[in-house]
Amino acid sequence: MKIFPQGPIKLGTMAVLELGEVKGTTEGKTARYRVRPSDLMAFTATFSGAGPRMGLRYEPVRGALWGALDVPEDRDEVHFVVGVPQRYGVAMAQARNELQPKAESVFPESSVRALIRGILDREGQR
Amino acid sequence: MSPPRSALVVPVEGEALSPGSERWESFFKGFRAASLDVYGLYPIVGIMHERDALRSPHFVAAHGLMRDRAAIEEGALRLRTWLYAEGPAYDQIVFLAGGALTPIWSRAVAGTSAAHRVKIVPVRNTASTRGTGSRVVQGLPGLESAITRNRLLNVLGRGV
Repeated sequence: MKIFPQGPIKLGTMAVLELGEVKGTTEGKTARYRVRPSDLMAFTATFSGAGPRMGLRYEPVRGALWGALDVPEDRDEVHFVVGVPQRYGVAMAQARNELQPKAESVFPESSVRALIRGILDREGQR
Repeated sequence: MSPPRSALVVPVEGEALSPGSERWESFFKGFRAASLDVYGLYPIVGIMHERDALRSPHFVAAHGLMRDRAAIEEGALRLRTWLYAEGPAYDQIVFLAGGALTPIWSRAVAGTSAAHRVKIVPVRNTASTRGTGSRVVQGLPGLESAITRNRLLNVLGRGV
């Protein structure tokens, strides 16, 4: 069972998230998704206003899950990074091994979508 | 001596009983204290402090509702994870148990080191809270009963 959903994850008809790399660091685990527009006009209208929030972490469930929009320096595309802090990740792995749930990933696609929606709606930043 | 630090975890099954709702506020305002943290249990989202849930309503709403067997499995995984990650910070962890999500508690707690610090307060539908006619109480019917209130006060060490 993986931690992050494999995707592709649809953001309505506007864009699709494609999983790139999953990385483990001393801070925790992160998954990097490429946000690929499927409706360019809607995508531009939505993400052009997100500039000030690029790189800012949105953490609705403190200490458990965060997300951040990112524009890599060498590419003209938007990425979405989802992360799990080390302490929560270790706890999650232990619980997962003991309970053996049937789901494909610990975090469902809806969590990734909800994180992006929270960022675009400026939740937690008002 | 400072009072024991407690966590109170409440299943959220819909808007009827969710952080910020009228029922939630009117019931839990009488229990809030510096030594108590009140959390909502959302099967898919996980365990969320009531303050965080109020700050991120769109995040919570985007997950939708889940009440089937998958909700029990998802909820148990989230709750067990929370017990391992955050449980050590509390002297006691109190669960309000009732409704469709009740099986989550035993599944999540069984075999964990936190089990001896967990207390379950059952919330039962009583004759006075059972929906009659057009008024059907959703989300832990029986919460406001005197029995539940007294049980909770006693568990939290504030009973008379």
